[in-house]
Amino acid sequence: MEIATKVTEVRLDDPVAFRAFYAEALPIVFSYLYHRVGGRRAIAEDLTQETFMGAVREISTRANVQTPVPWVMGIAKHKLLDHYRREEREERRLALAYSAEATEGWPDPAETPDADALDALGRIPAAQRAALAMRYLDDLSVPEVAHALGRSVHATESLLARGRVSFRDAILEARDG
Amino acid sequence: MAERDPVAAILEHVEHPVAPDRAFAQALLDDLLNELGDDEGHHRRTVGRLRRSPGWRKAITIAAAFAIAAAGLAMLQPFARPTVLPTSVSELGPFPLVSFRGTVVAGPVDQATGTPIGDVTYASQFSWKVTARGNYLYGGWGYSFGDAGAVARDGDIVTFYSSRTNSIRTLEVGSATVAPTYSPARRLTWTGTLAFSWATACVSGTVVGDEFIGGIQTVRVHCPEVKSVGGDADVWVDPSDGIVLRIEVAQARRSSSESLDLVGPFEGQRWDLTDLQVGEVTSATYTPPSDAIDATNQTVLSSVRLGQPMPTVELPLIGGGTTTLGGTPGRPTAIYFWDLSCEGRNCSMTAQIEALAARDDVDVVVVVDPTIYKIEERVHDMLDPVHVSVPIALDASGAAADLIEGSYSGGSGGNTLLLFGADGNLEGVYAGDYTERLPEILDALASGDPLPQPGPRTDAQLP
Repeated sequence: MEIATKVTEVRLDDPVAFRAFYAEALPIVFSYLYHRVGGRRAIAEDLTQETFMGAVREISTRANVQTPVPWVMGIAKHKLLDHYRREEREERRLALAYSAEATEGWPDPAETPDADALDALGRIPAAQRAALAMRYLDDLSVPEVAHALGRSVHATESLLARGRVSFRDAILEARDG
Repeated sequence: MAERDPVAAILEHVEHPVAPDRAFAQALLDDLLNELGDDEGHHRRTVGRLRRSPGWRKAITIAAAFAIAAAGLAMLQPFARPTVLPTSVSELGPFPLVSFRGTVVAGPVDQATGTPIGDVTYASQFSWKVTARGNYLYGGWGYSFGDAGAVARDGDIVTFYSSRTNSIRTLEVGSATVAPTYSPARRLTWTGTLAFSWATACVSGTVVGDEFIGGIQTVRVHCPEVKSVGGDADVWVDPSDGIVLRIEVAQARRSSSESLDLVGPFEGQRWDLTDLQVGEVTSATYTPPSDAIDATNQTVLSSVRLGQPMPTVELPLIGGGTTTLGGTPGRPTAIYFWDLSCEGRNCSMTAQIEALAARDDVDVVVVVDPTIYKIEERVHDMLDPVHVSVPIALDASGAAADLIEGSYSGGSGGNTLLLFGADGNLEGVYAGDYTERLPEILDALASGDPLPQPGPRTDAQLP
């Protein structure tokens, strides 16, 4: 994901510059998180808050930050991963039904509204959502997704396969009411 | 050819910019500034956001303490600076009664000599102190003391130079200068630089970006058609208070007012307003031409004031006869100062006069500036097609204009409506484009109810 930025430095002792940085970075961070939590605004807000609070704490330990928007996006990604892990822990008590790879029964992408897709992404298990988001929204390779999630490549491929099934079923469920 | 991954196809376009909620954005910024040790953010903390935070009970307690401090801070610093910048003209914050700030470093010039005329220092209680350099006496009519109509407050004493009489005069500023306005365009007047009314403002502007000017994050508004002056200009507005900090005229076209030629000096010019000062100050001076007559002690005008009757002013009427403003107690009266320097029904707001003339429960007098080119012809051109007949008074002496602190298109903001109750006392003053609410306003006046307060308008309501 390419992030264009015009703010080159954030200084702790310069609230004006911080405001400018915030004004530029906030919509980018929020939008990034919003899509990766399945369009759930409240969760995106919480993660945005965690991200910027983390940024401010880090800012306080250094005089300035170069390329602050990519930097805060890095924090956002970590916060997102933490969120996925928290959600996954919550879901562990639920039995995940294993499904074979979904090769059939997909809805026509052209007839699938973005809102439905986003909603479906938000309704599948957290670990699967994390894998799908990294793989398809962030364009990471499977090994990169595996590295980010702390799993083996094989386990990640399995996770992606389950995620694809869940995602498809969630879309169909929404479509069929 | 390999079939495309359906997940990739479905999610291909799902990502698009999503704006955070403004209240959330502001609350988070306050929290962050608090963490950074910037007290400015404290007083705008919102409890709603904190309720979702783990430590919200403690936070609300803290917020309550800040809320107490907020009232004091709000008085000292009425214009909180926003962080999430507006993206449309309608979002540019409330138009302040105080209007502009700083020094005009490249003001308008004397059109005859090409040099700036005069230095103006104006200030009023509760307002920004302003130092402006420039000539606001264009057209030979009236006086527009910087943007005194927006800066001066009720009760201020202003010393000014009147080009009409070539004299230095003193004016007690009345309530007309604190007239509310419905038009957000009023916020975009070329404040402090050209002293034009809201009608010359960038009423159809669009936000095209944001830039820092002197540490203030401004919103840049592109104005493809600046009213009256015409042409293409950009203005940089402080979104927290609507103050224009910079104006850059790319192209100017001839003014719609045939008696004025305002084009040449403006094209290609840029004005910057800087040197903000805040404080309670009370002086107002103007450096007039050397041959001006000092009439300070001879001419003290009494402005119209809320709750007080209109001073008696007798004016000739178009078509013959005279009328006395502030005349007959017993019936509600509307005195409408009609800015006909701006042509066209939308600009001159003929609809307002139509609405006034349609009332049989309110007496109406319309006052016009007789120095406007072919004024009687213009009046007929405007009103005859809509079959409106109202008394039109000619303010040849400027006595009536003095009562509202400026020329018709100057300080008071274009068309100005003074409303007097049945007891003969001034109930309210309206300026700007309030056409849609005029029936509501007049209903209240006729029934003796409190006059409605102005409210924000939307982009769709702009002319």
